[in-house]
Amino acid sequence: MSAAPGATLHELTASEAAAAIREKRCSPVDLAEALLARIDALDSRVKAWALVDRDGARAEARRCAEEAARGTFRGPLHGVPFAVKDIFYGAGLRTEAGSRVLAGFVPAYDATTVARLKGAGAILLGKLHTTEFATFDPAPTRNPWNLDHTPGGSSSGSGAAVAARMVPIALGSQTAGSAIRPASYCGLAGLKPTFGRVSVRGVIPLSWTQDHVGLMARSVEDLALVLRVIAGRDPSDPSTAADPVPDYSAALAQRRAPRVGLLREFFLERCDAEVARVTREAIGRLTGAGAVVEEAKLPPSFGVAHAAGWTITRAETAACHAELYPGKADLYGPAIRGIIETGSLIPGDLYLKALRIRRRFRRELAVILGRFNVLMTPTTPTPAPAGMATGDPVFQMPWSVSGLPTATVPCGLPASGLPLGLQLIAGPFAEAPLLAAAAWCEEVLGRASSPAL
Amino acid sequence: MSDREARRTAFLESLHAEAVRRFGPARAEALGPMIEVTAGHLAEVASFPLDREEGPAFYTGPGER
Repeated sequence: MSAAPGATLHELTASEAAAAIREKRCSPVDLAEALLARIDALDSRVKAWALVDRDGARAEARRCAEEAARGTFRGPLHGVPFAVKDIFYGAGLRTEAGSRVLAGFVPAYDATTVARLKGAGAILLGKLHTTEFATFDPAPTRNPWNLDHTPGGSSSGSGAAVAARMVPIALGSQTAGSAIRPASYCGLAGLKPTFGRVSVRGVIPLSWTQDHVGLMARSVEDLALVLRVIAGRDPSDPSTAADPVPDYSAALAQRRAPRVGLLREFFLERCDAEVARVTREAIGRLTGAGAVVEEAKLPPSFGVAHAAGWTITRAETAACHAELYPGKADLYGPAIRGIIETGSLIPGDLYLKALRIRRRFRRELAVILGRFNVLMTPTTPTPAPAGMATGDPVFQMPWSVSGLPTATVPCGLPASGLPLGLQLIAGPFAEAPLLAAAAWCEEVLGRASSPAL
Repeated sequence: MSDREARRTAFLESLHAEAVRRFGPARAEALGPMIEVTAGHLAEVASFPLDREEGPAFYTGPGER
């Protein structure tokens, strides 16, 4: 069966694959086999996968195919493969968070997000490499656009696997800049929803009040489709909000030229020349297509947002590992070990003051966001760096500490051959207008092409 | 020396002393660069003026949308 004239199955987005399966133009078995073959062909070089569940995926694909043949579809992702960063629990699947500390750990249940995706008919293909405990000790993964460069981190495998067409959608996580940054480095569309929009139950924690689930795909349409499935209250996660979950895909149909608050201060000032040039060109194209772009001013508390964010995450990381660390210190990598130890030194009163600053920052941002549909920055100050270090989360941390939703879309592929992105920021629980603005930008700027592998 | 710089120096000294006490001198030495960064962050947080009525934000609560 063919999904579309000339299309190869591994190139299909999740939305395209779901439609092809529903219309019987594509079998879930053929799709799963095409992606497994892609992994077999490329992953010795890209090194995105910590575990490929071949038997489980094949069994699920057969089940989905049988159900589809009977006209039964479990949900909007029926028969579509997905993958998750190796800090997400998958029942019966080894989950090691890139650490010797958790070697051989097999959870008994699925993370809520994994369970919801499976419930919508999606097929878990496997687990993707992460930096150790989602911090800075690097994963082995390489950037599909240039194997000498990092894909970013900490969701390294998630970004690389989607970019390399090994899987159409993947989940990662973001505490500082770990989902949006690798999505941009890999030429993808990425989304970090509002804190509390998506459950983190069954995701190995790094920082309880700052951990977010992140989404990576090759189109904004796919981000909307997946978010609708995984968002919403989870009784097992007290941080989740009870707000109703809108139809994000329907919101995309309403997209129109947005009113954009451009953050020059701090962000454009810190870019290298190539990022600044590509960003200016992209903004020129958006303006030419009808976007209203005005400069937005940062609030007074922005100046301390990074310090507050790092104070919160360091202290919470130390607390997250307080029971495990003393007996296994020598098994931890050097970066996470240093974070745990210095985090344990942070005085409680200053941890709480950082949380109070977070509240002020969030309130001050709301005033600015009231004037625009979205704020905009370059997603990263540089393209993906060469080597193993996973890049700088400095452009993501303010939105992680504030909990505001952010998205990235590709905005250019300069001479370096490494993709760049634009980051969009919206108000709390405003994922629908955020995704609509991102889809409009994607339509004007175009999606990234495929890396030559 | 500015108030923030004085605070940073004080945090640097107290964090280092606590690291020596908990982890030993060699480990405290290894943590030096990270302790310096953390001291800078703590000085920024400590120096930032807030209303006494400003409470902490753990999670996003109703009324804060």
